[in-house]
Amino acid sequence: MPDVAHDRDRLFEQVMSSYGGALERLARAYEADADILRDLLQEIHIALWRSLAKFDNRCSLRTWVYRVAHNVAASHVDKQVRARKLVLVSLDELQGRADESAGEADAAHRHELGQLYAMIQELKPVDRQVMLAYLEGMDAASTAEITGLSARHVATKVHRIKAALGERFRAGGNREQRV
Amino acid sequence: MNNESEDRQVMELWQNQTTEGVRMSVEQVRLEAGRFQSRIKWRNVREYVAGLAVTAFLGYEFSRAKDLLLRVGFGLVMAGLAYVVWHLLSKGSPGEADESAGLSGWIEFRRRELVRQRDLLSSVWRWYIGPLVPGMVVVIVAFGRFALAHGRSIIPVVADALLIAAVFVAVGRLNATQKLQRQIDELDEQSRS
Repeated sequence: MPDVAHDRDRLFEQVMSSYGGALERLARAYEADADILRDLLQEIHIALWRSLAKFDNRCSLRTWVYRVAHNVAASHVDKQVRARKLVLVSLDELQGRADESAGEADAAHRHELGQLYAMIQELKPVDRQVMLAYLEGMDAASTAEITGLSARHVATKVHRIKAALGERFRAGGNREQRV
Repeated sequence: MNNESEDRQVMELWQNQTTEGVRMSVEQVRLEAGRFQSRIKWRNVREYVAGLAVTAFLGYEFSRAKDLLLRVGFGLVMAGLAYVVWHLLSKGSPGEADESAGLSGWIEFRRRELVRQRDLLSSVWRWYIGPLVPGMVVVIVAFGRFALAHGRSIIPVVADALLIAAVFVAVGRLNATQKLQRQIDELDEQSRS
């Protein structure tokens, strides 16, 4: 038993040093309020620590970390949707909304990262997970492993993500001048 | 600028953003996880204590009542409560999510939970209100009969009966099943899209 506990602690430290930043970005993509964001991040850390007792190397540590983190965050969004009566959209709906929401996003967040967050936070959990995996630079196979969707399904979604991003940022102005 | 270069720039923008470096140490996470477990444990203890307190009260009233009808009423209420608690424990307890199961596992778990809540709500008359009504009716009739037999006003008994009936009707009219069904449909749509 002490070895199992020790392994879990060691893995947790590894997760914190390798994926701490990515987890923070992920949590921010699910929660805009700074105070609630800290709680969500803490909830993700605790869920990860608890889950690592069951980690059996059947998937990579990265896949495990993202699965747990996304599931905790998706449950969080689910509660927030009910509490705040939020309306989330799919990738299909996101495309074509560039003009109307770019203006709103611009008013709320005057820089591109803010626009990107505003765009992600509008998405339903499934599309949000794929979008985040894409932004973290994961390929379709890794994303499929994390989400449980087929690689083909992921590829279709990534295609829509690219279109939506292009549309949004072109609608938002010339990227080169602002980045 | 081509699309690939634009995609890369968005990714770089995302990956190179400044983060606050919020990290929990093993000691912190162990402490918080312990607090979480402790909160769950105390919540369960509170629920059991509340259940025991109600049972003890009804048991006391049952043993103290001299009127046979009143005893029957308290007995029926206790039996009804036992059924409600059994139903809640066997069908009302939420399952535990497998947090490492991936999105499809999460959707499946969430859907199961929503279906469970919807079914519980749609059958609230059968498992919550129904089992309590016979005992409550008998208790009220017994109190009413006692009041009439001793020349007291029956108005407080009628007022209590109306209050209890209003609570039952309000619980029975909780119309959240459609809302839950909409959430189930949304999840189905998510897993299809």
